[in-house]
Amino acid sequence: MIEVLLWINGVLLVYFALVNLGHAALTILSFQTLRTHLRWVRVVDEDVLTRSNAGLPVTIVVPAYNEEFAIADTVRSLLALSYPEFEVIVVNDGSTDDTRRILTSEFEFRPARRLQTSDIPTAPVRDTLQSRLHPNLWLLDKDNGGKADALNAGLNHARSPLFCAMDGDTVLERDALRRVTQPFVVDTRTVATGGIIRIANGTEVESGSVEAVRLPRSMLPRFQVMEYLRAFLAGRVGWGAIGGTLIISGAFGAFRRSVVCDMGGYAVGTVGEDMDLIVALHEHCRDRRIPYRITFVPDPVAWTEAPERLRDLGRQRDRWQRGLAQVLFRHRRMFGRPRYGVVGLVAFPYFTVFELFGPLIETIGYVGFAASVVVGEATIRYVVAFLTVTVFLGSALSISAVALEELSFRRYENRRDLVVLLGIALVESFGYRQLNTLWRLRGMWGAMRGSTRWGEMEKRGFDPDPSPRSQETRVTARVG
Amino acid sequence: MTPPVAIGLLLAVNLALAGLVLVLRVRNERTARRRRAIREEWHPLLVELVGGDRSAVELQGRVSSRDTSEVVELIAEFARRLSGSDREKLLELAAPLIGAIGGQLHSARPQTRARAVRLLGELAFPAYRPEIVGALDDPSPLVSMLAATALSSARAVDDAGRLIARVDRFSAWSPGYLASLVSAMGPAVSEDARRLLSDREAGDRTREVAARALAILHDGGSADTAASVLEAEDDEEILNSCLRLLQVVGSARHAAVVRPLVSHPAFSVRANACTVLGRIGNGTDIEKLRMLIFDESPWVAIHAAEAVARLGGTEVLEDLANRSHERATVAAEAIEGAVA
Repeated sequence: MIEVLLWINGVLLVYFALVNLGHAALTILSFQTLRTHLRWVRVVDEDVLTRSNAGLPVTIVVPAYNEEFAIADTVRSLLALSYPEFEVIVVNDGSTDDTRRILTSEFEFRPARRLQTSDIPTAPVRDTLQSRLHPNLWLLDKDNGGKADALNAGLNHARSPLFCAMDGDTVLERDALRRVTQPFVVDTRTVATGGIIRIANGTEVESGSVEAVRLPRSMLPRFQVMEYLRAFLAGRVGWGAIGGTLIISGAFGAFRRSVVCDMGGYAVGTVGEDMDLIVALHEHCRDRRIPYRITFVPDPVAWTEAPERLRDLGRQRDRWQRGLAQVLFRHRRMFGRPRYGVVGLVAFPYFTVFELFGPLIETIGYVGFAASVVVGEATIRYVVAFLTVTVFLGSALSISAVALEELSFRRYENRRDLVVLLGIALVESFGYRQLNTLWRLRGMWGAMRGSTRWGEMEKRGFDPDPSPRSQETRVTARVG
Repeated sequence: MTPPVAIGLLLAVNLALAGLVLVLRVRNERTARRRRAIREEWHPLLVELVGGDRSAVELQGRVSSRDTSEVVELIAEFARRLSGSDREKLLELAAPLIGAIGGQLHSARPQTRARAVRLLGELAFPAYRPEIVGALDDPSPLVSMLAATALSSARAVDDAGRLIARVDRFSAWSPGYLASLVSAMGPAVSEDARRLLSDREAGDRTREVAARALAILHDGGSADTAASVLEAEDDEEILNSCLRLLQVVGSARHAAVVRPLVSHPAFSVRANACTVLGRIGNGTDIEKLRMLIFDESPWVAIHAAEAVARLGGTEVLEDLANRSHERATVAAEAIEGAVA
């Protein structure tokens, strides 16, 4: 028994050292990459790369399931994009709320015919409609089939060389599409690009445009702001720099349509369709020796609504973990294989050990420490010291992410917000991190049971006035 | 390392990082304030300069060495939006300020060289023309691309040949972007582009870019060149770019070269050939185009239906639209498009 405990503690220490080394290495890589990227952005005129004849046409596909609170703002933000040639296809995926009615009344849709350009199987499309006000805005009204199915329906109707996938509760900044498609102009081998997702709670969104950036008022979304900063600025930028991008968020990414259609579109029946697409793209291109690039661009910004309630956040994290497990399992043949380059040799093992099994290892560690104290193999002092080191290492990585933000984009201009972020870096290790571990464990259990449940989340939509009084009114209105 | 030492060390790292964040914030705010102050001071001064209320010499004396970089950027920003004598006034103001920037062309950092190329192209062309032409061969592709952009924006027609000859150097870039660079120089580049398009020794990418540039320029004189390339070539991208060129500048006498291409194995060539026939073909092409509405590729079907509509085959389309088959949709779409 004691030997087992000692072994567990040893494994935990090695795991702990490796995971922190990995995060630190990614942060350093991100720092270098961001610095170089920002220097170029300062030098190259923003318009240079998107002259009218050079910008590739884009079809933006917006799957919407029960998005009555945010969909109109999302579509308005898309119509206001600064981009030479694009069309928007909203796919109403069998919503049971007022999504379709709101879209129809806001944008005056009328029935129209449109030939499919690919034949990816999807749930039946009931109606194809075109806006009278904006001829480049289309609505596909279809039976519910899930997010991947809705994206595939949009893809079937897309007519541009590029398509951009985004969520129905996401608002794009005006130049986000221009920036996210730049890699396709600079390098024709590019097959996918992704931008940064930020938390919209607390920000002022007026007619689909972000007017003022502030931290959310409640703690739960604030923790998520910190997580997103870490994940995007310190994580994905670093992975992108070494060609190990395994995920481009479903909330905002751009893709070469022909390649995605050749692969058969998004995988239906998984809850991690965004990650699955990227991993499948790596697999597809490497297997066929197609030269390709998947790029993460740090400055195009999409703002999304984060869960405000523990239950909703728990469901989201549970789903993400199940999605991760499904994707890693579906593409397990890529694990450790040199033919898949950095993806097979570094990213896959990293995501498997630290992201997939991380929660399990952490939980075993907590239990192991408690048991060690009980049987007298570890002193309380030793455990406290270890946990303190864990907290300080975690907060150092989080503060590094805030430093990267301050070095680069500085979206949170309010000094108070900056101080609050620094505070969150310290306190997130007390409770929030453990809750996340619990939700992710639940997700792993769900993945083992084959669950593909999506789980619903209460939405508030974007509010031009994020004061508590205003939010209270909106929530009451929804409940009522 | 004992636990207390490790904890103390990590605490120090945390405090140092937090301190760094705060220092960065203070520095960023100070820089932003300074830049705002410079803009607030210089924006009205530049407006007055352009309006003739102040002279360039008078303003040159007001630029402190500390602010030179920001002021030059602001002048460049203004210059981008203006032309003619207004722009000349700005260039006169910038002339003594950009001397130091010329030296940056030899910096070891590509970003510094790139900035120098951009600013010299915007504010000191043609004085720095040899340096900018030299930068076309810079080891950094982005510096080289900015040099190409500078020559293109300055409409340096004499250097068009040099620019087009280096297109292969930017092989990864989108041909559409490269074509927009070349065509921005204006019709004077047409002759070079036509020569390259017909030169089988030139790289495929170079020829493709030349054809695209000629299409952007609506260069009527290149229609025969494109037609003869269509007869002799089989590279998909060259065929497509020549078809796009004929779509813009072709005439009925080129239709005979295009007709066989509606049966080309590549769907993109078939689709583009349909579009060209829709523009330069005649009523005798409608039947063939009608059959192409049932092509295995939906792209060919869409282009064929649009071509039928353009050639006045509305009745044919209405007949197809009223039947029950999957391509009825594309016929109806083409009718709606023609009406719109």
